[in-house]
Amino acid sequence: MKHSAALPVAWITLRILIAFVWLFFACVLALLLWSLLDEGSTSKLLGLGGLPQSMSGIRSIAILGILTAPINYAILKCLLDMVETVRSGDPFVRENAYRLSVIAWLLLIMGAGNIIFASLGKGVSISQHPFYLDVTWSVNGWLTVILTFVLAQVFAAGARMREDLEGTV
Amino acid sequence: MAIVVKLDEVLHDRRMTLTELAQRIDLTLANLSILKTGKARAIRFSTLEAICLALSCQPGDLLEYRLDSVDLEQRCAA
Repeated sequence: MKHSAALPVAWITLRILIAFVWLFFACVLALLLWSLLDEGSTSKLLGLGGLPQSMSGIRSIAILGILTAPINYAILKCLLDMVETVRSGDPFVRENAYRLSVIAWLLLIMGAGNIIFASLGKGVSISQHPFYLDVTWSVNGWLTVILTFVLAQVFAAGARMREDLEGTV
Repeated sequence: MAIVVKLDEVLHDRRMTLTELAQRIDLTLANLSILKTGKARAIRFSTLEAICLALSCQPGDLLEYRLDSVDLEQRCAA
């Protein structure tokens, strides 16, 4: 079976993204720890003006950022495993339907998390020291969640059909 | 499953081995073995036709509907 060139590109991209996720995790964790050790310099570095409520807001965002890293990893790992099954020529399996379902739920959680992120960002930002947190959850995001749920069902049906076909003599 | 494949009996009556039948109908021995042991989920009409032609029999000679206790329980539960 001949595969398109997109598969190796997807595989490498996903690997790189997984590395970035853990790099992001390490950076945010370091920032959080640094903010606990030296609040003054962290506040200065982030341009928060030394306001205590801003620092606690930043810490909350950092904690949420740390929590999103395993979710991002799980999404990328599921995608990577799916790419592996496509490469092996056997994508219509029940595991992939389950993986897509997991991805859909995680995207939904991330969407909800983005709303919390945005409200935290607004809480931290004050007129003297505006803080811009670029997190939005667009209609496209919700459409992606719906699309992924639908795809999970498509894969589940495809896997059932394949199983039937395998048992056909 | 309530459908019982009686290929073994027909083969015995015709004094034919599974390997010979596989060669005659151009089907792999593995697939024919799946059919014989009742592990197949479905059978193509083309396969059934080829087996009937090779063994000079009717589909009814190869397949039988036998309602066993498990199936009966499942039907009652439904």
